Amino acid sequence: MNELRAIFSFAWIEFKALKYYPSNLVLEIIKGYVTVFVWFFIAYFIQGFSSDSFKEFGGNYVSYVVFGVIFFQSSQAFLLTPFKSLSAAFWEKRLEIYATLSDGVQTYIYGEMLWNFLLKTMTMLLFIFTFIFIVKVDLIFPYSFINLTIVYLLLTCFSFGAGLIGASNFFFLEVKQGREPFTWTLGVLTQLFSGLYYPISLFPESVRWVSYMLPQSYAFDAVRRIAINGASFSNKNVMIDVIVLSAFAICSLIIGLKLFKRALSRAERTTGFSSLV
Amino acid sequence: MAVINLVGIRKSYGKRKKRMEVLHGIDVHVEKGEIFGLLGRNGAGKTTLIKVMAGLLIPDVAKGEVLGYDVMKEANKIRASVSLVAPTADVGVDPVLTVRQNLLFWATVYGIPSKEVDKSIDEVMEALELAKFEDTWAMEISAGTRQRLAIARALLVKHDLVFLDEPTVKLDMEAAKMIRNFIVDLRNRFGITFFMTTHLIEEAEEICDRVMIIDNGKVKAVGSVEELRNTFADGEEITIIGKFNALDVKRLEEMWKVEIIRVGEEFQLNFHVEDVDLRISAIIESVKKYGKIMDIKTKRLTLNDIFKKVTV
Repeated sequence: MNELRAIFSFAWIEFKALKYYPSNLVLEIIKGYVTVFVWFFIAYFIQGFSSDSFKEFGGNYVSYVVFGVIFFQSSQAFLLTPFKSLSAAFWEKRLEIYATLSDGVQTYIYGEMLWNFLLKTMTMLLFIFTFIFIVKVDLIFPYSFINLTIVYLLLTCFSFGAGLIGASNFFFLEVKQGREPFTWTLGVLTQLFSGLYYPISLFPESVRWVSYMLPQSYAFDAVRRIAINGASFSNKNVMIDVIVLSAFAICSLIIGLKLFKRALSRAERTTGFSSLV
Repeated sequence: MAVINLVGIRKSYGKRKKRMEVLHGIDVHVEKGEIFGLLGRNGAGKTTLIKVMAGLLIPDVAKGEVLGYDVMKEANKIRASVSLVAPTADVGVDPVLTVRQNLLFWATVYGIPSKEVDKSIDEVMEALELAKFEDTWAMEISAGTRQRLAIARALLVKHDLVFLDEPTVKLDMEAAKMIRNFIVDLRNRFGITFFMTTHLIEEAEEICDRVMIIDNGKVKAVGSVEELRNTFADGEEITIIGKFNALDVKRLEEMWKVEIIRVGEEFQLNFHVEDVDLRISAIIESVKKYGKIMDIKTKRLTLNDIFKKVTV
């Protein structure tokens, strides 16, 4: 119970920071809108040329890409949260103080994750409502809402687990600033091979295995089938997507939590939770 | 009862050829309720030693316990049972929260029961004179006040052992005095043990029951200031300036172990004695007979002298 209160307190601090600097939120939302709108206009422009490739997604490239980009933005933010939070606290020498609490470093990271989850979910909902009700992108909504939420939560769990694996490298590989190789690679592969901007069927058979290794491929596939085609979990493709995504989410969370704990033990034995000077 | 009882602490950083040993087998023994000072030059190993004792670093080798927890195996339990004030004023203080909100945040993460939160916050705010800044944003208060807030944060929960890494480093004399008084008061009221590093030797001399001087990761001296004075003193000095004739000065030289320096028409007599208090009356009586005393000065060995002596 105390740990839960502490997690909420760390999230509350982020909320206060946002309240103090509300422009940060406005700029973040504008940046998100710009990214989605860029893809919206590209998709709108090439819609006619590409519709054949998107038959299984209702032949609608605009809906396909808009929904993919919105979900990708959130999952990418969750993936990077643990490492970024750890790095910020380390260099601001806060991490050492958090470490004096019982499981304080983990509590801090969970608090940051909770805050990012709330913030990104809110902005994602804003984007979805904008594109459905104002821009009028074709989506089956709100009937698909519950199924979409489940896929979104599974993708979030996977991203946080993978994010914790990445954050572990802060102490394992001593990557304490800049880009962390695990989450960076995952992000790049997702953009290239997960079917984010174009369907996996466009790839030659020989490289498709990369797509099948990426949990985001299953998440984006399920999201589109649910949101554009109105498919339910009883649909064979969606069912496979959800099962594989669940397996990835569970594995990444278990591995992430264990690795992160080991990374903290390594920190205790080597250079600790702050710079030496 | 020993709160810290550690033997042979060794700690090194880096890998293989670049490995550098920072602590070379240090022993630390601190009793409950003590205010223990750690002195050393920059790079002496003070911060590493504090981190080891606070459970933030596991040493390469060491035997013993902190608060009854094994320093090699139970670092996480040690960490959760001690408070730490880092030397940087801003650490643990969130600039976008008010002073009270900062303490409220920490009270929550420390797991202080909801009913006791307000009482705990009011108590530390009053003791550290933070009440008037209660609703001020932390980013708008001075560095010294932020340092007091950082200390208030650490003392919010009454842990049995508090580590203070240069707690008065950015404070003016008045604020530093207030912190020192608060530390002594907390020790007296709650029996809290304080382990502090400081560069202000006068500060250690004023409030520490015992001090340890380390240099290059090795203990150079440990004990109360009085014990160190006895160990390292090679005599104290009484200086008398006065007007004497040369013959009388010669007589004094025969009677006492004295160094004589002529300054214009006056003489400066430096008497080397074992103990100033024991000898001063006899010396003054003796000197009075031979001339006019203009000035008398005494010099006792200070902690600063001892520090310089052992860290050469």
